Amino acid sequence: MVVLSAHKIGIFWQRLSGLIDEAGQTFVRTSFSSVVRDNWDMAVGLMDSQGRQFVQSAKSVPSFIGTMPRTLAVMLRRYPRQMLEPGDVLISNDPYHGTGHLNDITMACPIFRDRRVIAFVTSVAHTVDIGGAPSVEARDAYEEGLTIPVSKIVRAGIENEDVIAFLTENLRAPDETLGDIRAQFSAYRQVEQRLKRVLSDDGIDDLDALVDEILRRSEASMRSAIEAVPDGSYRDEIMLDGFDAPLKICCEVRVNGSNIVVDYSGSSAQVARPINSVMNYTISYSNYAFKCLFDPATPNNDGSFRPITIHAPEGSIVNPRRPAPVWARHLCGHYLPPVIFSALAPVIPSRVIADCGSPLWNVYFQGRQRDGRPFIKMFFMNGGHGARDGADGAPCLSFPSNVATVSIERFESTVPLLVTEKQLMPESGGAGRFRGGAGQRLSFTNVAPEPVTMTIRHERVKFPPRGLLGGGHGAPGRDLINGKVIGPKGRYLLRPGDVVTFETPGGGGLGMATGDAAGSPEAVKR
Amino acid sequence: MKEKYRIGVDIGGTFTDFVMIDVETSRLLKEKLLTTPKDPSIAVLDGIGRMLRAHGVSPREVIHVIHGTTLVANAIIERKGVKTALVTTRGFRDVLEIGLEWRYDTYDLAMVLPQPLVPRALRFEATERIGPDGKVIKPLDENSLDAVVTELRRSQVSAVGISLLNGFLNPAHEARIQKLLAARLPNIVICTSSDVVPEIGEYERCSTTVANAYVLPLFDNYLRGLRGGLDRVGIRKDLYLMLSDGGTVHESTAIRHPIRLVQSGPAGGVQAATIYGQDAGADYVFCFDMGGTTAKACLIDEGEPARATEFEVARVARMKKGSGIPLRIPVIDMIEIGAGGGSIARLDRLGLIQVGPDSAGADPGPACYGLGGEFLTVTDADLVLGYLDARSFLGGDMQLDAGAARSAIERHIGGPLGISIQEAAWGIHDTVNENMARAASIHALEKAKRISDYAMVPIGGAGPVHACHIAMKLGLSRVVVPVGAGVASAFGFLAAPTAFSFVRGRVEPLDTLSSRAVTRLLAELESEGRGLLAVAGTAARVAISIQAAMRYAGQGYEVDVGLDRAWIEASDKVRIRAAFEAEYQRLFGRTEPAMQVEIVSWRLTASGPRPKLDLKLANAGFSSKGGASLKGTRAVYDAVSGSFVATAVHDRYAIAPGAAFDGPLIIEERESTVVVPRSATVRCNDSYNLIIDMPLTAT
Repeated sequence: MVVLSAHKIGIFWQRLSGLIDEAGQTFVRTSFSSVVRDNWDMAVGLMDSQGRQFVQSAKSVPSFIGTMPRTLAVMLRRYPRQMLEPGDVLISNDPYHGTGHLNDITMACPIFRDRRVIAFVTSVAHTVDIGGAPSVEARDAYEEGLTIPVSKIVRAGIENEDVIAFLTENLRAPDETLGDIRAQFSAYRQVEQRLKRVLSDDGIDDLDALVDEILRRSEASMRSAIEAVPDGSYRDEIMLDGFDAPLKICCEVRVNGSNIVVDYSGSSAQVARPINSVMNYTISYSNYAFKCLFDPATPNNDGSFRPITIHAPEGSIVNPRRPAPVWARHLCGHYLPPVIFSALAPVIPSRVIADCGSPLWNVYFQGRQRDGRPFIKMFFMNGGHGARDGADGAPCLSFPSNVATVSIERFESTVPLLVTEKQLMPESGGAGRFRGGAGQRLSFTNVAPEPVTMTIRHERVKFPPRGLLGGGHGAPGRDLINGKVIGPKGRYLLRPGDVVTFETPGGGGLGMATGDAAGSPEAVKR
Repeated sequence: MKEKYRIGVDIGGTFTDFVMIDVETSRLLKEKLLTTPKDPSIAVLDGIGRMLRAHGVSPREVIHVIHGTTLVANAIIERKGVKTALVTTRGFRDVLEIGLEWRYDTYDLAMVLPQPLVPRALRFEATERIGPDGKVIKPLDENSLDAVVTELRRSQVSAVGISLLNGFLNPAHEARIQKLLAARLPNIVICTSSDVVPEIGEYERCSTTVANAYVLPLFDNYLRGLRGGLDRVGIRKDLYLMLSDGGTVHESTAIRHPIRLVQSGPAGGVQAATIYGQDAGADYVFCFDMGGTTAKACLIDEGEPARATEFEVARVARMKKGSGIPLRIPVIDMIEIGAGGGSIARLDRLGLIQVGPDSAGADPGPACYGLGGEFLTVTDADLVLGYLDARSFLGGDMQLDAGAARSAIERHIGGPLGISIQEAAWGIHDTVNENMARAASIHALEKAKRISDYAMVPIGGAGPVHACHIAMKLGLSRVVVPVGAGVASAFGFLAAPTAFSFVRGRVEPLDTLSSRAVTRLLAELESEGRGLLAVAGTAARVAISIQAAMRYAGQGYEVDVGLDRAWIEASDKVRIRAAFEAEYQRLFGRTEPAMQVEIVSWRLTASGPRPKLDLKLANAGFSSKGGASLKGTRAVYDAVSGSFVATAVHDRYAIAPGAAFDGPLIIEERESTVVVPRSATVRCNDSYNLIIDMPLTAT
């Protein structure tokens, strides 16, 4: 076995991250969907032969980073290593094993060396349409579209026509989705070639020893940061607008030496509305919060999360049972980092941030182009960022997700909607020693000759983003059609000429405001 | 008196470099002065004057002066531009501040975003709207500008950027606003997005337009000062400037788009590497510029540096993509990483060696500078490994403290890891090399090139020290170490052709390409280009090249495809598609035969001939010393055996053409040291450049 020095580990790790970044670039540049190329709603990761993740592309959605290794584990139960051959690609979008909703397709490609699996390259990408009738009315997961069970979409280098046919027949925009899927195949081939070269250049047989060492060191680093937090039990809870009635997430963080247990007992029971966060997604965003708090600089890998255990009662909104609907699971999952932050705020006040204007806001527009072709288009818009000790929150920043917005000019050039405003709402950030970031107002006019269907599912309309440690709340969000407030979750018909307006929530403030100056909106206006 | 001298001047952060070439004899003269940051033209005029006097040249013998400067980049980095306002479409004044809504660092809760160059109070709105097809949806309400004029006057801004939604498709409203404002506010500078960067993407276009306005008055002032100074010393000749894409333009062209000078100096270095590479017979050149704080790299294919259309300036977080101000301008495509001689080495939280991206700077600098610096840097490691010599650094002007370097290594890395000082030093050296190799190979892959096809040309002080070891990591077989790497940028200015490129956004499916309209558009751009080059005196031999940014319908990233004008005029869609697919195949290894192809924008470059420079003549007499080049031997770390080996040290100034050596050896010159590893061979060619052939085995 190769003994790896600190110097060699650093060099290999760098080289492998570079290789996965390249693959991420290739995917983004050749993708056909706006969500991948403009919003970067994707991730590419590398696992060792045991499925342990230690590298992912720089442009990666945090939740996907967390779910990829778990999805791979499920895939390998269906197709154990002895059933895999070079050139295979596995696919699935099962929400309970994947990222929590059908729209994210996870794929994995084994990499062989001397007829032995030495690594897996995995990727996740959002697809805007997954068939079915995804809606806020869905009562179970079957209504939400096509479930792709773990299958081989490519067998030994040859595309599996049956899987492709299922996709083609069930999706509204199969060209876009399949275009993206094939773009990922190119990325895998690139990783495979480069990885083999790196290993042979350095005379290494497999990655496992390297990954052992990376995980061991990352775990130690995380443990030493946790040890600095006083032992104890820290609790908080957060209210969700929910659908018919408000929902609640209860969070207890137990710190014991270098271990952390997070317990979501007491959270609301699962509901027959698409807001439930599957366990994978819950684990992913909980881990993400601790990574941000305790060891943001270490490149992400599974070792960092060994000291953390997460309990979520089965049958709750943070660990639902099949077939609870999950399409908008981010409406629940995006509350996990803020509730962990607020629980720990009293002991680590200088590390946390106040609530951001999230869960992520977005809108689906569906209709027909002037030439009759159907379109379905998503638009993302973020709220204000929470304040932290030492700085006001930034306006309109994605958190805890990391989804970029699309250019208005590019958007308008593809769909018959005109954007008539995109501006900050300076008053919307929460007051405080440090102010929350401003949310924004966006308006869209339907300029098509026929109606456009619009679907929204927005939170923080009843319960605004909370201030922290004495800081004020951010302003809640609002949705309006032609100036009249509408419900934040629903499907609406926009007639020609109708104007829909979205006001994203402002971020929470942090600390008590000490004087008028700090609390004045002028501070935001500069 | 005959005009026969061309002068190149590069203002860097520390030094202003000068080169002067006699076009009849090709003799090259050099000068180096400290930069005068308050008024950079002082050093420029001083240096030119010195050079002329020292060589008995009359100002009237000068043909022209070509100049590059960090002024534009520094004005933005240091926020020293003028008070600038923005006028945009009603409802969109915050686009400049909102940006992409994306976090450039996934995990850092304390991440800081760049502040926009124009604060909210100076962002104004006009009532108007142009649609996504370029048609006017809402006519410009000229009355809506009254309040804007009042505010602009009251707030005493010096410059205004106008950037309207979809303004790149129809410049009418921007032009009208410009006219109205200019009539009422005659003393302010006004830039429109349809002039500066007529391309899709409201955020980046607006950002580029206001950045241009922000630096224009400063640049104008500076140019006037310099012009006046040159006139006073009797050089009443044309002044040219180096753009970020490696072309030079007449001062009257540069002043319209000073933002295009943001990478002026580095572009000169790349142009120089182009010449050095050609001299050594390399068709594919990997230019590697490693200085004190950062390293930059660029790929040059058959004399043409790789180009890009995006650049980011003034990053808040060093080396983090997305933390700066985005610009859409033609640039030489360079990667930059925080890996220079002064980069700080330390153990990270995992106990792994980390180098950079921060730097110890020049003062206190590396521990071995002996200026009280506590930081352990790459230079310290290079010294301990014997690659640098304590007594001959900067030609012996600066004595390095090897003891301080050793104790810094022991304290920061050797001790904590329980390894020897030499192992730790090699760890630092090898890690920084890996940083660079990794960045270079990703860059090459992004451009679908094979890095191993390239010959490396290292420039900058630390370049030749690290070049061969990086070349081995990348599998490069040849390294060319030029003479005068220290003044490469200024020399590159003289080597660059006069050129200007135009970009026009025009989204259109290939199937319905309107060849007549495109032909007309290209003809307009061509005549404008020829006009600019006529001012520069190269009208007769102008070459026109046309590129289309193309993609499959539905994609969002374009591929630049060189097109023959005849295909466009003949509306030959088959050939145009074939050209696109050939490029796409090369980049991504496949095509999408079923998909429609569309064209997003057109780029036309008008360029004059590349000036002829004979390196052999230019460097003639370089090795003036004569005699044996061997200065002695010293113990130098050999990576293959992992031990110190007595290694020959040569004086570069005594190496004559034809000389050849086998590695390992060290070749010292004033501003740098060439480290040649074991099994590599070196020979000095007729132009005094060192050609190093690498063993093709990885370490």
